[in-house]
Amino acid sequence: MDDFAKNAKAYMDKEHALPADKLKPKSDIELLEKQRVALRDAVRQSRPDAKQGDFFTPPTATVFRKILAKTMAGPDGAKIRASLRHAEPEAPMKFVVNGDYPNRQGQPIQSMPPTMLQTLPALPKGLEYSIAGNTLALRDTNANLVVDYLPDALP
Amino acid sequence: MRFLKLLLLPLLIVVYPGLQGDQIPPRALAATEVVDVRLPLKFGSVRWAVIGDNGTGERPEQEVADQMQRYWKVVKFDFVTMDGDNIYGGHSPRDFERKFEAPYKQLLDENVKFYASLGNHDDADLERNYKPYNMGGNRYYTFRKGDVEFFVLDSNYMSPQQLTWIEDKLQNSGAKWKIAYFHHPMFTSAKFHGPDLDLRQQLMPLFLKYGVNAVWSGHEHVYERIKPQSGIYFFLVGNSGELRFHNIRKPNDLDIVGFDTDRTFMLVEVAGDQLYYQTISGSGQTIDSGELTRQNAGQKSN
Repeated sequence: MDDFAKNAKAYMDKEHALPADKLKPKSDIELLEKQRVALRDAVRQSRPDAKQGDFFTPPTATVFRKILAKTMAGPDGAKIRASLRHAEPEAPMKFVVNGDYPNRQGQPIQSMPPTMLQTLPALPKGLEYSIAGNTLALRDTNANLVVDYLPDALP
Repeated sequence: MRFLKLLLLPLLIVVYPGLQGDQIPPRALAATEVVDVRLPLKFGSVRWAVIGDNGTGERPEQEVADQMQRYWKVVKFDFVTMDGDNIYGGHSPRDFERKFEAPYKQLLDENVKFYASLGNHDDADLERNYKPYNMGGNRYYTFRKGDVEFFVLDSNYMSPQQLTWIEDKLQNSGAKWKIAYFHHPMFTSAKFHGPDLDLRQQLMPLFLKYGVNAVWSGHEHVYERIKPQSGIYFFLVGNSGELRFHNIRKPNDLDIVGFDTDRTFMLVEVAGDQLYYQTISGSGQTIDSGELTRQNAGQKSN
């Protein structure tokens, strides 16, 4: 898991060093979107060979699956399941590494159960976990990009 | 006989009174009609409007916005809090214009501020940087108006960092009234999503410990005034654009008022230890109103 934390931090350090503008509040949505696309392109170009499993390496994936299985089997498991079941049946299910996060057409996102977030390793600002079906994804929130994903993360 | 039936049919349509539960809201009030304001409009009070799940860009959103404008002329609320799902569907510049800037143009022109929270249909990172939403680039934030401090949370991603931040902000707040709002409801009798029990488990202890007075949420496309839970007042306004007809479980033990046959927005006024509210439908009818007393009234604040 140390590698996962190290890789996540290195990812964000690299992004911060990119010449793309950071998003700052403004009224011009077109400009905000242009800046975000520019950042996304720059991130993609900086990791052209990115593939599924770069962050969720096989040993890391095993640990994540164990953590999530334990959480779901624990005392809060029923609440989390209820929360997931009642939430967003139309939430996007398919992730592509380096692809846009699949909410561009306003598809609803699945909220992350707070108890689950407490059991997962902390992420640096700019990275978030996201869940769809039983897949766990790592999302770059600044660029709205899929960094990596872990299929069959939830039991 | 058949000819007679054909003759009578138009007459029947004209005089048909409608059945209880018909999905046609009452006639909208004309712009010249006097608005029915039930707030005291006290000098120096804090006044705002509440909308939720509004950003459809469709006609009903505009109708609610028109009612808000009519009431603003009398109530002069300074700002609007948004319970999330501010923009449904695409998030192009045209979408922001059609689903936000155009419906609320008159209010925006009057310098009424909008303070958004993020729903599950929102593009979080675009919207938090969209200046007219006054989020300051943050997914969760606070702002204060007079005696009231608002804690605007991101219930899509209630991370440990956000929980720590909430605790810190609540603990250090000297406001007389502490009001939290966010998208996913901790309590609701609506059937589509239901309450978020995990969120409730995390937030309720903090709200109780630090004296949150009232909570607003959306997500379910109905209006609910919920019985106080451990003394905290809960409202749900998730039908300022969207609407899910007849979606509230009936009977239920949770709601004091549940309304699911038209869109709504709320007007709120805080003066001293009193909070006054009025909920108005898209057709201009007042469907709920009343007065609440601050739970910790008498305690000092700064």
